[in-house]
Amino acid sequence: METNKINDHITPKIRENVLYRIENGKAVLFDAIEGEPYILNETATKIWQYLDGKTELNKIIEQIVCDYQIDKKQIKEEILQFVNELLEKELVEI
Amino acid sequence: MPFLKSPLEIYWVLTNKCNIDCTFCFMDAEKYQGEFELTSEEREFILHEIIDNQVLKVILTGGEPLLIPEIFHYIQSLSEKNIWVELTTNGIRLTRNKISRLKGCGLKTIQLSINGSYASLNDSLMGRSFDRIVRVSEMLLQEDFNLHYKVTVTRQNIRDVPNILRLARKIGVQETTLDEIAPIGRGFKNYFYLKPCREDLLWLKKELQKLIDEQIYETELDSFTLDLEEDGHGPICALGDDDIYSAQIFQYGDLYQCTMSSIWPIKNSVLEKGLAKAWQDLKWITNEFTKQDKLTGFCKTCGECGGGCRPLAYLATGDIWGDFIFCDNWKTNNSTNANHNKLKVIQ
Repeated sequence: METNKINDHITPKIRENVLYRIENGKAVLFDAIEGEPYILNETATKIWQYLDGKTELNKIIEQIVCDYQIDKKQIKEEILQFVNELLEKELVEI
Repeated sequence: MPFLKSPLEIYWVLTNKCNIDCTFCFMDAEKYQGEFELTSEEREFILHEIIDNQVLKVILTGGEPLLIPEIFHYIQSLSEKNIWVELTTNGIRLTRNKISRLKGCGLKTIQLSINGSYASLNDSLMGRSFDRIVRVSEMLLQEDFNLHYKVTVTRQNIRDVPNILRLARKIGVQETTLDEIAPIGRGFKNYFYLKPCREDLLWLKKELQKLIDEQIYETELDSFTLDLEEDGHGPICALGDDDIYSAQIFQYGDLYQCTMSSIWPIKNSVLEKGLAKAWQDLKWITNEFTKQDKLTGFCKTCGECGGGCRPLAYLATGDIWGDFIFCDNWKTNNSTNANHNKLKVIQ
């Protein structure tokens, strides 16, 4: 997947029409305009909860590395792909 | 998707009372409020159940929801909890003052019913409302509401639908949904009179494509008849599935999965059980009533779609396991006259 639309300095924000709740540790998202539900896994849920429109992606990556004690290089690519997917599905905006 | 602890989206039928008398109304809404509709206190209980169970989106509907005095309170209470609220209305009771008040309560999206691009056609289907709809539409757009139109496609208005969409574009309506009349409520009683013919439906699909190609308006037709023809089954697929995320609370407080399933003689009261328990029981109820081995008659032997829409079969025959007579396979195996003779409206 291409991730050239984004870099780690962006500050993604959950769109107004995208609502969510946490169920069994996983975020259940609902696009109120499209009527489309999504369920995130636990790591994605953690990232999702940092998307406040103020926090830069590089800070979120550092936080996830710290939380899960994992290799930064590998997780950075995965997070960029994930955020890119959220942008493509118009669940978040920058 | 795992089965959720509560619905993400709820259509809340606040009342079946309505100030107009649409010939196709799927709720069979009436001029007077039903004797057993909920009290204000009971509706307040449901409001808190919706909030406490973290429902994410609520569509307030009816009947005419603006006939409920507490409507502003409901919108404000839900919006304050960051629940996405939409209102469906015929628009007759909307004034500039009420529109401002709705805006102040946090409402962002309103869906208005319209069924003709000119007064005599629209008003023949839904009472004298056309001028009001156009005036109210302009007021809503001035207040920056997301404005949606809903058209029920019948034999009477199908050839006018492209003009309704041109009118919607001219006014600035963001979205228009087109639903073919469904055989439920007054739509059931008047079904064979109002049902559009197949040729007209196919014509409309082509016209819609032209409007898309010419970048005039983009929308799709939700057609019961063409779905049956193309897929071999009606709007049944989601019943009992784990993927379900939406439900409806009806005017007596019962929770069902769809408007169709509300006609089953089963109580599933949010007042008695609470929302979460009623939601869990809904899955059991719908699973129980979609068991194919209980089918009788033609649907048992056909096997093509697993039995069609059970609520509609019940509505038409009085037997939950009876024939789904709206299907082409059934029609092919039965005479056209038998189709009419077998219809039986459940009182």
